[in-house]
Amino acid sequence: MRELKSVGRSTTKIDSLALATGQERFTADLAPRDSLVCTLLYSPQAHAEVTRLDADAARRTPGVVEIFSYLNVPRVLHTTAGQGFPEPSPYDAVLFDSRVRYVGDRVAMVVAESEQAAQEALKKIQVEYRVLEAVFDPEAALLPGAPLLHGGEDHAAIPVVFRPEENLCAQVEISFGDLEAGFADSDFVEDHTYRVQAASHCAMEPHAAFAYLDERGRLVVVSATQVPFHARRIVAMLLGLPIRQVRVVKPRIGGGFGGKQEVILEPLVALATLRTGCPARLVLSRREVFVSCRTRHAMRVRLRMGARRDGTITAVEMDGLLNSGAYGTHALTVLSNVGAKVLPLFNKVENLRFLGRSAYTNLPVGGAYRGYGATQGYFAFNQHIDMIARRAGQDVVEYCKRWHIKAGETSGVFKALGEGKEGVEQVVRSCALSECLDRGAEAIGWSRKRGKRLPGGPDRVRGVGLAVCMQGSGIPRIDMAAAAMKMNEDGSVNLMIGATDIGTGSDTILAQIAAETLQLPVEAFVVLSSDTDTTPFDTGAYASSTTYVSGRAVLECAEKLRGQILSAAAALLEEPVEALRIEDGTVAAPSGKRLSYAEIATTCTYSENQQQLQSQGSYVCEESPPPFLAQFAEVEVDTRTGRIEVLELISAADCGRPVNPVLAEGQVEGAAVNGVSYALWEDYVYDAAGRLTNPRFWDYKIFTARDLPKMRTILVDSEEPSGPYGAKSIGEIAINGPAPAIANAVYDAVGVRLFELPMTPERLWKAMREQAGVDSRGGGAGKGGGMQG
Amino acid sequence: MEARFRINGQERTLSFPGDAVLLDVLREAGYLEVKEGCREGACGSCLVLLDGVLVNSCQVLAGSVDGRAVTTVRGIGTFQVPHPIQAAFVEAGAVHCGFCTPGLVLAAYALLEANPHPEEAEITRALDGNLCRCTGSVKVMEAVRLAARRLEDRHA
Amino acid sequence: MATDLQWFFPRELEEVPPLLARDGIVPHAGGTGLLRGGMSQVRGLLDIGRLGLAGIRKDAALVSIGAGASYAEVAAAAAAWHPRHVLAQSLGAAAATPLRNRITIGGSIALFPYWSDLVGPLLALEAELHLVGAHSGWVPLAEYLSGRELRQGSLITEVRWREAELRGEYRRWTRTHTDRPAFSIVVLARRSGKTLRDLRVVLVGCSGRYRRLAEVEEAVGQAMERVPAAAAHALAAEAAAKAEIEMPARMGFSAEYLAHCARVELERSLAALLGDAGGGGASGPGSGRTRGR
Repeated sequence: MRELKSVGRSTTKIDSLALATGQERFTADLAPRDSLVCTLLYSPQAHAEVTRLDADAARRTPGVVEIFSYLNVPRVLHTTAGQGFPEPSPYDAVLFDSRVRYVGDRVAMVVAESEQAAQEALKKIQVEYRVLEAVFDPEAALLPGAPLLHGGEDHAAIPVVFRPEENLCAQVEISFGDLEAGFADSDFVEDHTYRVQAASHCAMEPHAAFAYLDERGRLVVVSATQVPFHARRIVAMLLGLPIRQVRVVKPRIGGGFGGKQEVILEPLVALATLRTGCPARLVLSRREVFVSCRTRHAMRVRLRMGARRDGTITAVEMDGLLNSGAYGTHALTVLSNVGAKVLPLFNKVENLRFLGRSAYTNLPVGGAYRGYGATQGYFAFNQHIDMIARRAGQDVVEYCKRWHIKAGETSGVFKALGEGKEGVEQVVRSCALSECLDRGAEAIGWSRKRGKRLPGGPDRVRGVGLAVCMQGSGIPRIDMAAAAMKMNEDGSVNLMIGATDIGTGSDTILAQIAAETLQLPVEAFVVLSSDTDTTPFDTGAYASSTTYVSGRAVLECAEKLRGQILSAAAALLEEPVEALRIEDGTVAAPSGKRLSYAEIATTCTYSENQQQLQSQGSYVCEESPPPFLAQFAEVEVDTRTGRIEVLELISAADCGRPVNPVLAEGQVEGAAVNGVSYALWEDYVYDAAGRLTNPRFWDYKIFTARDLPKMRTILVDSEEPSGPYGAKSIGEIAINGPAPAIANAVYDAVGVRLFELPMTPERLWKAMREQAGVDSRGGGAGKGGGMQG
Repeated sequence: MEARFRINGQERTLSFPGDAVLLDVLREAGYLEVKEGCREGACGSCLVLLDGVLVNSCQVLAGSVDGRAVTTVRGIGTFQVPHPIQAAFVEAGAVHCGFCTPGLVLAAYALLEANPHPEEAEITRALDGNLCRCTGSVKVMEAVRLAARRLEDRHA
Repeated sequence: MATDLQWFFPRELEEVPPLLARDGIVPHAGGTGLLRGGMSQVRGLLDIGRLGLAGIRKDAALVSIGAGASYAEVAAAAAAWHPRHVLAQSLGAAAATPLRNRITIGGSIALFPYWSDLVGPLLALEAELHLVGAHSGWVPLAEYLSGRELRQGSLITEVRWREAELRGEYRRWTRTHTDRPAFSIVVLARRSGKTLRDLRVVLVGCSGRYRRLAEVEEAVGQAMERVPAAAAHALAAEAAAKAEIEMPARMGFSAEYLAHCARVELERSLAALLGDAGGGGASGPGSGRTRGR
């Protein structure tokens, strides 16, 4: 292939300067000044029937325009999940219900002329609750006799397991081979249960949306959404409008990470606008985002793996229980991914069973969150691999290199485990994981540090740990993306894409792909994205789909436009089209004649062979080529207090050919840092009544620059044949490795394994004391490292 | 109540309730580059310079700063003529979603005005009031180091 | 809602007492404490900004700080007096940069939350406060903290103490770096050559909110020589073992764990103070090591 000029360059993101100079506007900035203010009333009860709701006094408050509740809003069952239709999440939610299912569930909405009037009215709404028994533990929720959250007409939109009469909102089971024979064939079995916690995305921009009716009475919703097209569909359905009457626009978004892959605010502002005829806005507070939006699903994973003395894994049984919270959005698909993104990585296992269940509880609602089940699964899986390699007497880096899936190989899990329907068989076509392992190991000084328990000072000991992961690039045969292009007479190109840039830089990298194909600079493109009226369809920013799926659509579209340019040039130059070649925004003929795109386009617009040079492309991925990642952590443990300090985190990632290396690094780094604070500190802490006690940064701790370990990102290129210019996606994967890498490093340092997140110092301290107790009673191996109880 | 401010060099007289915080007063007055991220003084999205001093505008009662100078990110550079710090953030790939960027740029500005040759520990300390979930602050650190070098070259 | 909140901007201290005597009027310095605590009971704010209370003075041994001085200003001034001055350590790490620019000395003392990074060092320095209002005059800080009556209707205008070569260690126990401490420890002593005298040990954040650990000061002894590291550790361990530490559970930590960590940090800071290898560690989040962060 000729040298690439655009793809593979760290082009500056096209919106960076406007953002850095404070020019850009986000949803809350764009809301019309005179729009009505929407404010929400939330349930103080974890589980209750609303027996009385009296909004009369509230309505009479000066400045209040309307108050919505179950009394005056039709019940339309739906899922808020931003997923392709029909959604694999159960239809178990309505806009306003007479039953509340968690502390923070929506009860009513005030629409008023000012913030102040809205707040006053909120206090005057009288609500009486008949308190119901609540359940917070998913294991308890599945037991007979547990209070039930759903039932009645709640249903699954596709044929999947959905038994609300048992609080079971999703179940997945796959198996192949003979599990018991596999265990019988093993020389040892490691059987452990892991627990991971709920977390908040903490995108810096709180959720926001506003709506208005345009001059012709069409409903326009402007929202900080990752899924404008799904939002349009769901808004139309909920409000009884045909889709053509609804327009959804995504302006800038201040981060999403899955938290905005949910259609929560849009129907509410749409409702307010439709009923009042006026523009209406809803901007959430940070507290509302913590409590009443979505979280990562907390999960319990039991993993049982049998292996022979030489390390061959003969059987894997994974049993996962996802805490769905009060509604089942993403409960099936996150659950499926716990197996689907984890189990294929070690594909030589012949005897395998994955059983997953998601249970309703009266807690804040789990939803899409970067990693999407892989994060939960890899915390368990990578610690097991570490254990097995150790028991087999092998270095875990070499062990992983030997056993991971390679290019040309497949796994039965790909076909067995889809997202609500059967999966898609695929063969991995690009995999540089072994090189990632080698380079990452060298960079961290693995052989110098592993197993050495190097002292870091008095009472401090160090260790290193590894985690390996894969993710996907889009959802095969489900995710579709499209692009359209038209050339302006100056040779520039308008690129219309449905793809949703949520700060990831997708507008830029998709322009880079187009630029490469058309041999133009990125600046020649006017990128228009995420407007359901003017840009073609795209499922949205999730499933690490943008580079790969939207990228292929852009590639196809650009190739077609290139064809048109060449045809038009052939006619103008009176040369056969096969003889022409494209060079830097011009078309050259062997005779030496040359036309610039501007000349071609101007002529085609005004004088000769008149036509609009334009094209379109769509792409639905047939496979989901996984990116791969090896993450290495070096930790220092304070043996007297259990404090874990992450000294260094190295991420060696294979995303095929990175379209924009600096942006790819940025994705890896942001995800990795999120993964580290998730591993050590982030947590949802509830009181006995199911109320979230820490819905603020005051007590929900995430990293600042001051907490950063030394971070290094190594991009290892492989070439994905099905990817646009060899690219795979990179958006999610790096959040999966830090927790297990750190846990493995802690074990390396002090011989204690933590099976529960977050790995707080107190948990490690207690575990070290227990271990010391065991050891002093004569059991367990020596620990070293100067531990004191 | 009414108060006078000099915002990005421009005299403004603004009216607001007695308990209003500076964040809301500024946004009401059209300075939308000042963002609300948490309203508890933790995220840094609302940072402004008050008489050159970095503060969380959501934690300042507007009534107490009558007559003071306020600088937002638009007061230190423009799209047409960006400040070297803004250019450095762009070049280093430190601008992702951009929501936290105005606050970060001002934090870097406050640091480099007072300390043109900061050490690592001084940079991280200067940024300890900013949260950035997109970059994890990694490229942000590079941007500040780059900005320091650029400013040095400019003065050389 | 306090939208009809009244503001007062006195220029002379004489104007303060009658204002503070009125119902619902409270002092306003940086405002961060008020915004955190909520202002529903507040009818009026007495802003101290025009009273000229922001000065920082050091004449030989006597330090005097106006109540309106910010954490950032005091930390910088203290660092200029000595790079490891205990207030440079404590206030330089407290809260976060933009908050340090607003949190004032007077406001912080008046609020005195368990997470105060100021009160421990001031207690160890045996500081005094100057008040005007319902109570006027100089009072020792310890007395102010224990006496409710002193706090009602009074305004702190100044803090002072005698420096006298007091050097030592400050430790704060946090989760991430930008966090309030679950507890903090100060150990200070006068140093002349190898001799240490007049040891002060204060724990803030324990049950009762703070305690001067006299039993530890006694165990170490009021006059002693600095010793090599190993001996310093042994001495420190012995002294810390005598500390009576009772902590509440907070910030996700159990009482037992916090008490254990407080004892460990106490031991480490004493060892750093007593050791003659250059006075050891810095204040990480309780990690006791300098790491260039």
